[in-house]
Amino acid sequence: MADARRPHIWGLVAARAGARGAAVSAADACEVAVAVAGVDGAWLTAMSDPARRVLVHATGAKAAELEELQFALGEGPCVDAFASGTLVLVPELGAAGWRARWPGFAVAGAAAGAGAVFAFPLVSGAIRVGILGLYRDAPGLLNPGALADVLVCADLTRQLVLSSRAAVDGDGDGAVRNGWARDGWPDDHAQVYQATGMISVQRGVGLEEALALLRAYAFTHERALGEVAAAVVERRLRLDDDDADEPAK
Amino acid sequence: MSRDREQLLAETFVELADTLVAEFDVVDFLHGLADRCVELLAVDAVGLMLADQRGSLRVVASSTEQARLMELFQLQHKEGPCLECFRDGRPVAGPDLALARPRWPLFAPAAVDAGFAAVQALPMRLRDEVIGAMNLFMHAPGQLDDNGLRVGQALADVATIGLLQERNLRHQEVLAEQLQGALNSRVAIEQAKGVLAERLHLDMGQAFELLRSQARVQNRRLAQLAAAVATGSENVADWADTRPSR
Repeated sequence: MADARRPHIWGLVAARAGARGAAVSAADACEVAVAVAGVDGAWLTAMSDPARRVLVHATGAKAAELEELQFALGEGPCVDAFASGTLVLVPELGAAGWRARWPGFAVAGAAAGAGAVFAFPLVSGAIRVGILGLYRDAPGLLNPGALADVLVCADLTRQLVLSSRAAVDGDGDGAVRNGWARDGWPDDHAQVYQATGMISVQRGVGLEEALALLRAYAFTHERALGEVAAAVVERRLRLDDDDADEPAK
Repeated sequence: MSRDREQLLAETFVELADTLVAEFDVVDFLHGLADRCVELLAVDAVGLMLADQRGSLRVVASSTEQARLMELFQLQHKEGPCLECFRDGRPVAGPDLALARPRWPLFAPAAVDAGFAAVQALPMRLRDEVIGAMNLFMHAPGQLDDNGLRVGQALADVATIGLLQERNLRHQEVLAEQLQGALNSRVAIEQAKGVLAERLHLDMGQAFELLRSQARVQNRRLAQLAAAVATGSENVADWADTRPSR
Protein backbone atom coordinates (compact mmCIF):
# COMPACT_ATOMS: atom_id res chain seq x y z
CA MET A 1 0.00 0.00 0.00
CA ALA A 2 1.34 3.38 -0.93
CA ASP A 3 0.51 4.87 2.45
CA ALA A 4 2.67 2.40 4.30
CA ARG A 5 5.57 2.64 1.92
CA ARG A 6 5.85 6.41 1.83
CA PRO A 7 6.79 6.87 5.51
CA HIS A 8 9.31 4.09 5.21
CA ILE A 9 10.99 5.66 2.19
CA TRP A 10 11.00 9.16 3.69
CA GLY A 11 12.64 7.72 6.78
CA LEU A 12 15.36 6.01 4.76
CA VAL A 13 16.14 9.18 2.81
CA ALA A 14 16.28 11.42 5.87
CA ALA A 15 18.34 8.91 7.83
CA ARG A 16 20.82 8.73 4.96
CA ALA A 17 21.10 12.50 4.82
CA GLY A 18 21.51 12.67 8.58
CA ALA A 19 24.26 10.07 8.44
CA ARG A 20 26.03 12.09 5.73
CA GLY A 21 25.71 15.23 7.76
CA ALA A 22 24.33 17.16 4.82
CA ALA A 23 21.00 18.46 3.65
CA VAL A 24 18.52 16.01 2.16
CA SER A 25 19.29 15.82 -1.54
CA ALA A 26 18.60 13.99 -4.77
CA ALA A 27 21.67 11.88 -4.10
CA ASP A 28 19.99 10.43 -1.00
CA ALA A 29 16.81 9.66 -2.90
CA CYS A 30 18.74 8.01 -5.76
CA GLU A 31 20.76 5.87 -3.41
CA VAL A 32 17.66 4.77 -1.54
CA ALA A 33 16.07 3.89 -4.88
CA VAL A 34 19.06 1.68 -5.72
CA ALA A 35 18.83 -0.04 -2.35
CA VAL A 36 15.09 -0.72 -2.39
CA ALA A 37 15.05 -1.78 -6.04
CA GLY A 38 17.97 -4.16 -5.78
CA VAL A 39 19.74 -2.60 -8.77
CA ASP A 40 23.26 -1.36 -9.35
CA GLY A 41 22.83 2.32 -10.09
CA ALA A 42 20.45 5.21 -10.68
CA TRP A 43 20.32 8.63 -12.27
CA LEU A 44 18.02 11.61 -12.02
CA THR A 45 17.52 13.86 -15.01
CA ALA A 46 15.56 17.10 -15.16
CA MET A 47 14.05 17.59 -18.61
CA SER A 48 11.76 20.02 -20.33
CA ASP A 49 11.84 18.37 -23.77
CA PRO A 50 13.98 15.77 -25.54
CA ALA A 51 16.51 18.43 -26.56
CA ARG A 52 16.89 20.08 -23.16
CA ARG A 53 17.96 18.24 -20.07
CA VAL A 54 20.44 18.26 -17.22
CA LEU A 55 21.68 15.33 -15.19
CA VAL A 56 20.93 16.22 -11.57
CA HIS A 57 22.63 13.19 -10.04
CA ALA A 58 24.10 9.84 -11.02
CA THR A 59 25.19 7.25 -8.49
CA GLY A 60 28.23 6.29 -10.57
CA ALA A 61 30.00 6.56 -13.90
CA LYS A 62 27.98 3.80 -15.51
CA ALA A 63 24.69 5.43 -14.54
CA ALA A 64 25.92 8.72 -16.00
CA GLU A 65 26.98 6.96 -19.18
CA LEU A 66 23.60 5.28 -19.66
CA GLU A 67 21.87 8.60 -19.12
CA GLU A 68 24.11 10.36 -21.62
CA LEU A 69 23.77 7.62 -24.23
CA GLN A 70 20.03 8.09 -24.35
CA PHE A 71 20.36 11.84 -24.73
CA ALA A 72 23.05 11.48 -27.36
CA LEU A 73 21.04 8.97 -29.37
CA GLY A 74 17.69 10.61 -28.74
CA GLU A 75 16.18 7.23 -27.91
CA GLY A 76 15.83 4.76 -25.09
CA PRO A 77 13.59 3.88 -22.15
CA CYS A 78 14.02 7.30 -20.52
CA VAL A 79 13.17 9.13 -23.73
CA ASP A 80 10.03 7.00 -24.15
CA ALA A 81 9.06 7.35 -20.50
CA PHE A 82 9.31 11.12 -20.72
CA ALA A 83 7.34 11.24 -23.93
CA SER A 84 4.55 9.00 -22.68
CA GLY A 85 4.52 9.88 -19.00
CA THR A 86 4.41 6.16 -18.15
CA LEU A 87 6.91 3.64 -16.81
CA VAL A 88 9.19 1.83 -19.20
CA LEU A 89 10.56 -1.38 -17.73
CA VAL A 90 13.22 -3.27 -19.65
CA PRO A 91 14.14 -6.48 -17.88
CA GLU A 92 16.58 -7.57 -20.57
CA LEU A 93 18.02 -4.90 -22.81
CA GLY A 94 19.76 -7.49 -24.97
CA ALA A 95 16.52 -9.21 -25.94
CA ALA A 96 15.57 -8.97 -29.59
CA GLY A 97 12.36 -6.97 -29.17
CA TRP A 98 14.12 -3.94 -27.71
CA ARG A 99 16.52 -3.72 -30.61
CA ALA A 100 13.64 -3.06 -32.96
CA ARG A 101 12.41 -0.26 -30.71
CA TRP A 102 15.79 1.34 -30.00
CA PRO A 103 18.28 0.21 -32.61
CA GLY A 104 20.98 2.49 -31.26
CA PHE A 105 20.46 2.32 -27.51
CA ALA A 106 19.68 -1.38 -27.24
CA VAL A 107 23.13 -2.11 -28.61
CA ALA A 108 25.06 0.73 -26.98
CA GLY A 109 23.41 0.27 -23.60
CA ALA A 110 24.05 -3.45 -23.57
CA ALA A 111 27.65 -2.80 -24.63
CA ALA A 112 27.96 -0.41 -21.68
CA GLY A 113 26.97 -3.29 -19.44
CA ALA A 114 23.31 -2.68 -18.71
CA GLY A 115 21.36 -5.92 -18.32
CA ALA A 116 18.13 -4.28 -17.24
CA VAL A 117 16.94 -0.65 -17.33
CA PHE A 118 13.89 0.88 -15.62
CA ALA A 119 12.66 4.40 -16.37
CA PHE A 120 10.26 6.31 -14.12
CA PRO A 121 8.86 9.62 -15.34
CA LEU A 122 8.54 12.39 -12.76
CA VAL A 123 5.19 14.03 -13.35
CA SER A 124 3.49 16.95 -11.61
CA GLY A 125 -0.07 17.11 -12.79
CA ALA A 126 0.15 17.73 -16.50
CA ILE A 127 3.86 18.52 -16.51
CA ARG A 128 6.72 16.07 -16.87
CA VAL A 129 9.77 17.37 -15.07
CA GLY A 130 12.24 14.57 -15.60
CA ILE A 131 13.19 10.94 -15.18
CA LEU A 132 14.46 8.62 -12.48
CA GLY A 133 16.41 5.88 -14.26
CA LEU A 134 17.71 2.64 -12.80
CA TYR A 135 19.96 -0.06 -14.23
CA ARG A 136 21.10 -3.48 -13.15
CA ASP A 137 24.09 -5.36 -14.51
CA ALA A 138 22.14 -8.61 -14.51
CA PRO A 139 18.90 -8.86 -16.49
CA GLY A 140 15.62 -9.59 -14.72
CA LEU A 141 12.36 -8.00 -13.65
CA LEU A 142 11.86 -5.80 -10.64
CA ASN A 143 9.89 -7.72 -8.07
CA PRO A 144 6.43 -6.23 -7.37
CA GLY A 145 7.35 -4.97 -3.91
CA ALA A 146 10.45 -3.27 -5.25
CA LEU A 147 8.46 -1.63 -8.02
CA ALA A 148 6.06 -0.07 -5.52
CA ASP A 149 8.94 1.18 -3.39
CA VAL A 150 10.64 2.76 -6.38
CA LEU A 151 7.41 4.51 -7.36
CA VAL A 152 7.41 6.17 -3.97
CA CYS A 153 11.11 7.03 -4.37
CA ALA A 154 10.39 8.58 -7.73
CA ASP A 155 7.63 10.72 -6.30
CA LEU A 156 9.78 11.79 -3.39
CA THR A 157 12.60 12.62 -5.79
CA ARG A 158 10.22 14.76 -7.79
CA GLN A 159 9.23 16.62 -4.62
CA LEU A 160 12.87 17.15 -3.69
CA VAL A 161 13.73 18.51 -7.11
CA LEU A 162 10.71 20.81 -7.10
CA SER A 163 11.52 22.07 -3.64
CA SER A 164 14.77 23.50 -4.84
CA ARG A 165 15.34 25.29 -8.10
CA ALA A 166 19.00 25.08 -7.23
CA ALA A 167 18.91 21.64 -8.80
CA VAL A 168 19.11 23.28 -12.21
CA ASP A 169 20.67 26.67 -11.48
CA GLY A 170 18.60 28.65 -13.94
CA ASP A 171 20.79 31.73 -13.69
CA GLY A 172 23.98 29.96 -14.51
CA ASP A 173 25.85 32.03 -11.99
CA GLY A 174 27.03 29.02 -10.05
CA ALA A 175 25.84 30.32 -6.70
CA VAL A 176 25.62 27.62 -4.07
CA ARG A 177 22.19 27.64 -2.51
CA ASN A 178 21.22 26.42 0.94
CA GLY A 179 19.49 23.14 1.35
CA TRP A 180 21.10 21.43 -1.59
CA ALA A 181 24.64 20.33 -2.13
CA ARG A 182 25.02 21.41 -5.70
CA ASP A 183 28.26 21.13 -7.58
CA GLY A 184 27.06 22.96 -10.61
CA TRP A 185 26.28 21.55 -14.00
CA PRO A 186 28.73 18.90 -15.11
CA ASP A 187 31.08 20.59 -17.60
CA ASP A 188 30.10 18.34 -20.44
CA HIS A 189 26.45 19.23 -19.93
CA ALA A 190 26.98 22.93 -20.27
CA GLN A 191 29.34 22.27 -23.16
CA VAL A 192 26.71 20.37 -25.14
CA TYR A 193 24.58 23.52 -25.27
CA GLN A 194 27.56 25.81 -25.80
CA ALA A 195 28.65 23.65 -28.71
CA THR A 196 25.13 23.78 -30.09
CA GLY A 197 25.32 27.56 -30.12
CA MET A 198 28.71 27.52 -31.79
CA ILE A 199 27.64 25.03 -34.44
CA SER A 200 24.50 27.00 -35.23
CA VAL A 201 26.75 29.95 -36.13
CA GLN A 202 29.42 27.88 -37.89
CA ARG A 203 26.94 26.09 -40.10
CA GLY A 204 24.29 28.81 -40.31
CA VAL A 205 21.56 26.56 -38.98
CA GLY A 206 19.05 26.63 -36.17
CA LEU A 207 19.70 25.24 -32.69
CA GLU A 208 17.70 22.07 -33.25
CA GLU A 209 19.65 21.20 -36.35
CA ALA A 210 22.91 22.10 -34.63
CA LEU A 211 22.16 19.58 -31.87
CA ALA A 212 21.29 17.00 -34.48
CA LEU A 213 24.64 17.59 -36.18
CA LEU A 214 26.45 17.20 -32.88
CA ARG A 215 24.60 13.98 -32.09
CA ALA A 216 25.20 12.62 -35.56
CA TYR A 217 28.92 13.31 -35.36
CA ALA A 218 29.19 11.59 -31.98
CA PHE A 219 27.26 8.59 -33.26
CA THR A 220 29.22 8.27 -36.49
CA HIS A 221 32.57 8.56 -34.79
CA GLU A 222 31.54 6.42 -31.78
CA ARG A 223 32.46 9.11 -29.30
CA ALA A 224 30.61 10.28 -26.22
CA LEU A 225 28.45 13.32 -26.82
CA GLY A 226 30.06 15.27 -23.99
CA GLU A 227 33.52 14.52 -25.33
CA VAL A 228 32.65 15.79 -28.81
CA ALA A 229 31.02 18.88 -27.32
CA ALA A 230 34.16 19.61 -25.30
CA ALA A 231 36.26 19.30 -28.44
CA VAL A 232 34.02 21.79 -30.25
CA VAL A 233 34.03 24.26 -27.34
CA GLU A 234 37.80 24.00 -26.97
CA ARG A 235 38.12 24.55 -30.71
CA ARG A 236 39.86 21.25 -31.28
CA LEU A 237 37.04 20.20 -33.56
CA ARG A 238 34.94 22.00 -36.11
CA LEU A 239 31.96 20.29 -37.72
CA ASP A 240 32.48 21.37 -41.28
CA ASP A 241 30.21 20.40 -44.09
CA ASP A 242 32.04 17.28 -45.09
CA ASP A 243 33.05 16.31 -41.53
CA ALA A 244 36.34 15.08 -42.90
CA ASP A 245 38.25 18.16 -41.84
CA GLU A 246 39.02 17.32 -38.21
CA PRO A 247 42.16 18.83 -36.75
CA ALA A 248 44.34 16.51 -34.71
CA LYS A 249 43.26 16.36 -31.04
CA MET B 1 23.68 5.08 15.01
CA SER B 2 22.49 2.61 17.66
CA ARG B 3 19.70 0.24 16.73
CA ASP B 4 17.31 1.85 19.19
CA ARG B 5 17.89 5.28 17.79
CA GLU B 6 17.60 3.99 14.25
CA GLN B 7 14.30 2.38 15.10
CA LEU B 8 13.02 5.51 16.74
CA LEU B 9 14.14 7.57 13.79
CA ALA B 10 12.29 5.31 11.42
CA GLU B 11 9.16 5.49 13.55
CA THR B 12 9.39 9.24 13.73
CA PHE B 13 9.37 9.51 10.00
CA VAL B 14 6.55 7.05 9.80
CA GLU B 15 4.46 9.42 11.84
CA LEU B 16 5.70 12.54 10.11
CA ALA B 17 5.07 11.12 6.73
CA ASP B 18 1.65 9.80 7.69
CA THR B 19 0.72 13.37 8.30
CA LEU B 20 2.21 14.36 4.99
CA VAL B 21 0.17 11.83 3.06
CA ALA B 22 -3.14 12.47 4.74
CA GLU B 23 -5.12 15.67 4.94
CA PHE B 24 -2.48 18.20 5.71
CA ASP B 25 -2.87 20.44 8.75
CA VAL B 26 0.28 22.47 9.17
CA VAL B 27 -0.06 23.25 12.84
CA ASP B 28 -0.94 19.70 13.73
CA PHE B 29 1.98 18.46 11.67
CA LEU B 30 4.41 20.75 13.42
CA HIS B 31 3.10 19.82 16.84
CA GLY B 32 3.68 16.20 15.96
CA LEU B 33 7.18 17.04 14.79
CA ALA B 34 7.97 18.89 17.96
CA ASP B 35 6.80 15.96 20.09
CA ARG B 36 8.86 13.50 18.11
CA CYS B 37 11.95 15.67 18.24
CA VAL B 38 11.82 15.66 22.02
CA GLU B 39 11.85 11.89 22.04
CA LEU B 40 14.29 11.37 19.21
CA LEU B 41 16.92 13.88 20.19
CA ALA B 42 16.62 13.32 23.94
CA VAL B 43 15.89 16.97 24.66
CA ASP B 44 13.26 18.33 27.00
CA ALA B 45 11.27 20.75 24.91
CA VAL B 46 11.01 21.84 21.28
CA GLY B 47 9.60 25.01 19.79
CA LEU B 48 9.08 25.80 16.12
CA MET B 49 8.99 29.23 14.62
CA LEU B 50 8.15 30.17 11.07
CA ALA B 51 8.43 33.59 9.51
CA ASP B 52 5.25 35.22 8.35
CA GLN B 53 4.94 37.14 5.12
CA ARG B 54 6.46 40.21 6.70
CA GLY B 55 9.50 38.28 7.85
CA SER B 56 8.55 38.28 11.52
CA LEU B 57 8.94 35.02 13.40
CA ARG B 58 5.81 33.49 14.84
CA VAL B 59 5.56 30.59 17.21
CA VAL B 60 3.67 27.88 15.38
CA ALA B 61 4.14 24.85 17.55
CA SER B 62 5.85 23.56 20.64
CA SER B 63 6.02 20.42 22.70
CA THR B 64 4.98 22.11 25.91
CA GLU B 65 3.21 25.25 26.90
CA GLN B 66 6.30 26.31 28.77
CA ALA B 67 8.48 26.28 25.72
CA ARG B 68 5.79 28.28 23.99
CA LEU B 69 6.20 31.00 26.51
CA MET B 70 9.89 31.05 25.84
CA GLU B 71 9.38 31.45 22.15
CA LEU B 72 7.02 34.29 22.76
CA PHE B 73 9.54 35.83 25.02
CA GLN B 74 12.26 35.65 22.38
CA LEU B 75 10.05 37.18 19.83
CA GLN B 76 8.97 40.03 22.03
CA HIS B 77 12.41 41.02 23.05
CA LYS B 78 14.03 40.38 19.73
CA GLU B 79 16.82 38.35 21.11
CA GLY B 80 17.75 34.75 21.58
CA PRO B 81 19.19 31.73 19.73
CA CYS B 82 16.12 31.18 17.57
CA LEU B 83 16.23 34.69 16.21
CA GLU B 84 19.97 34.54 15.57
CA CYS B 85 19.52 31.21 13.82
CA PHE B 86 16.75 32.59 11.64
CA ARG B 87 18.77 35.68 10.75
CA ASP B 88 22.01 33.89 9.96
CA GLY B 89 20.64 30.62 8.64
CA ARG B 90 23.08 28.66 10.81
CA PRO B 91 22.75 26.48 13.90
CA VAL B 92 23.13 28.40 17.16
CA ALA B 93 23.99 26.69 20.44
CA GLY B 94 23.78 27.89 24.02
CA PRO B 95 25.25 25.01 26.01
CA ASP B 96 25.15 26.78 29.38
CA LEU B 97 22.51 29.43 29.73
CA ALA B 98 23.72 30.34 33.22
CA LEU B 99 26.74 31.90 31.49
CA ALA B 100 24.84 33.33 28.54
CA ARG B 101 23.54 36.57 30.06
CA PRO B 102 26.10 38.74 28.17
CA ARG B 103 24.91 37.26 24.90
CA TRP B 104 21.18 37.20 25.65
CA PRO B 105 20.59 39.55 28.58
CA LEU B 106 16.85 39.01 28.65
CA PHE B 107 16.41 35.54 27.20
CA ALA B 108 19.08 33.69 29.17
CA PRO B 109 17.88 34.49 32.70
CA ALA B 110 14.27 33.91 31.72
CA ALA B 111 15.11 30.54 30.25
CA VAL B 112 17.01 29.58 33.39
CA ASP B 113 14.03 30.67 35.49
CA ALA B 114 11.85 28.43 33.38
CA GLY B 115 14.08 25.48 34.17
CA PHE B 116 16.17 25.26 31.02
CA ALA B 117 19.97 25.17 31.13
CA ALA B 118 20.85 24.72 27.46
CA VAL B 119 19.40 25.50 24.06
CA GLN B 120 20.06 24.62 20.41
CA ALA B 121 18.53 26.28 17.35
CA LEU B 122 18.52 24.70 13.87
CA PRO B 123 17.51 26.53 10.69
CA MET B 124 14.55 25.48 8.58
CA ARG B 125 15.67 26.33 5.08
CA LEU B 126 13.82 26.36 1.79
CA ARG B 127 16.00 26.85 -1.28
CA ASP B 128 18.12 29.85 -0.39
CA GLU B 129 15.71 31.23 2.12
CA VAL B 130 15.45 30.55 5.84
CA ILE B 131 11.78 30.10 6.61
CA GLY B 132 12.09 29.55 10.33
CA ALA B 133 13.93 27.77 13.07
CA MET B 134 13.59 24.73 15.27
CA ASN B 135 14.48 25.47 18.89
CA LEU B 136 15.54 22.64 21.21
CA PHE B 137 15.58 23.11 25.00
CA MET B 138 17.35 21.04 27.63
CA HIS B 139 17.02 21.00 31.40
CA ALA B 140 20.70 20.12 31.86
CA PRO B 141 23.64 22.07 30.44
CA GLY B 142 25.47 20.57 27.45
CA GLN B 143 24.85 20.24 23.74
CA LEU B 144 23.85 17.69 21.16
CA ASP B 145 26.62 15.49 19.87
CA ASP B 146 27.50 15.52 16.17
CA ASN B 147 25.08 12.73 15.43
CA GLY B 148 22.28 14.47 17.23
CA LEU B 149 22.93 17.68 15.33
CA ARG B 150 22.88 15.83 12.04
CA VAL B 151 19.69 14.00 12.81
CA GLY B 152 18.11 17.20 14.11
CA GLN B 153 19.00 19.06 10.95
CA ALA B 154 17.69 16.21 8.79
CA LEU B 155 14.42 16.38 10.70
CA ALA B 156 14.24 20.12 10.13
CA ASP B 157 14.99 19.60 6.42
CA VAL B 158 12.39 16.91 5.92
CA ALA B 159 9.82 18.97 7.79
CA THR B 160 10.57 21.95 5.56
CA ILE B 161 10.09 19.88 2.44
CA GLY B 162 6.95 18.42 3.90
CA LEU B 163 5.56 21.88 4.47
CA LEU B 164 5.69 22.38 0.74
CA GLN B 165 3.37 19.52 0.03
CA GLU B 166 0.24 21.37 -0.70
CA ARG B 167 -2.75 19.23 -1.50
CA ASN B 168 -3.39 21.70 -4.30
CA LEU B 169 -2.29 20.12 -7.56
CA ARG B 170 -2.11 23.49 -9.25
CA HIS B 171 0.66 24.53 -6.85
CA GLN B 172 2.67 21.46 -7.77
CA GLU B 173 2.25 22.34 -11.41
CA VAL B 174 3.42 25.88 -10.75
CA LEU B 175 6.57 24.53 -9.13
CA ALA B 176 7.05 22.17 -12.07
CA GLU B 177 6.71 25.04 -14.53
CA GLN B 178 9.26 27.04 -12.57
CA LEU B 179 11.66 24.13 -12.67
CA GLN B 180 11.26 23.76 -16.43
CA GLY B 181 11.64 27.50 -16.84
CA ALA B 182 14.88 27.42 -14.89
CA LEU B 183 16.19 24.57 -16.99
CA ASN B 184 15.23 26.26 -20.26
CA SER B 185 16.80 29.51 -19.12
CA ARG B 186 20.04 27.79 -18.31
CA VAL B 187 20.10 25.97 -21.63
CA ALA B 188 19.47 29.26 -23.44
CA ILE B 189 22.32 30.92 -21.52
CA GLU B 190 24.75 28.16 -22.49
CA GLN B 191 23.62 28.26 -26.12
CA ALA B 192 23.97 32.06 -26.14
CA LYS B 193 27.49 31.76 -24.76
CA GLY B 194 28.32 29.48 -27.68
CA VAL B 195 26.85 31.90 -30.19
CA LEU B 196 28.75 34.85 -28.73
CA ALA B 197 31.97 32.89 -28.44
CA GLU B 198 31.77 31.97 -32.10
CA ARG B 199 30.64 35.34 -33.44
CA LEU B 200 32.95 37.52 -31.36
CA HIS B 201 35.88 35.16 -30.81
CA LEU B 202 35.55 34.95 -27.05
CA ASP B 203 36.01 32.22 -24.49
CA MET B 204 32.97 31.08 -22.54
CA GLY B 205 33.78 33.16 -19.49
CA GLN B 206 34.05 36.35 -21.54
CA ALA B 207 30.90 35.45 -23.42
CA PHE B 208 28.96 35.08 -20.18
CA GLU B 209 30.22 38.37 -18.80
CA LEU B 210 29.28 40.12 -22.03
CA LEU B 211 25.81 38.61 -21.94
CA ARG B 212 25.32 39.77 -18.37
CA SER B 213 26.57 43.28 -19.00
CA GLN B 214 24.36 43.60 -22.09
CA ALA B 215 21.37 42.46 -20.08
CA ARG B 216 22.08 45.23 -17.57
CA VAL B 217 22.72 47.83 -20.28
CA GLN B 218 19.55 46.92 -22.15
CA ASN B 219 17.61 46.41 -18.94
CA ARG B 220 16.40 43.00 -20.02
CA ARG B 221 16.12 39.72 -18.15
CA LEU B 222 19.22 37.62 -18.67
CA ALA B 223 17.26 34.53 -19.73
CA GLN B 224 15.18 36.47 -22.22
CA LEU B 225 18.22 38.11 -23.81
CA ALA B 226 20.00 34.75 -23.89
CA ALA B 227 17.10 33.18 -25.77
CA ALA B 228 17.19 35.99 -28.32
CA VAL B 229 20.94 35.63 -28.78
CA ALA B 230 20.72 31.85 -29.03
CA THR B 231 18.05 31.88 -31.72
CA GLY B 232 19.83 34.56 -33.70
CA SER B 233 17.13 37.18 -33.33
CA GLU B 234 19.51 39.55 -31.53
CA ASN B 235 22.10 41.45 -33.53
CA VAL B 236 25.30 41.03 -31.57
CA ALA B 237 27.69 42.46 -34.14
CA ASP B 238 27.86 45.81 -32.39
CA TRP B 239 28.30 44.19 -29.00
CA ALA B 240 31.99 43.84 -29.80
CA ASP B 241 32.53 47.48 -28.97
CA THR B 242 31.09 47.03 -25.49
CA ARG B 243 33.10 43.97 -24.54
CA PRO B 244 34.34 44.06 -20.95
CA SER B 245 38.09 44.62 -20.99
CA ARG B 246 40.17 41.53 -20.31
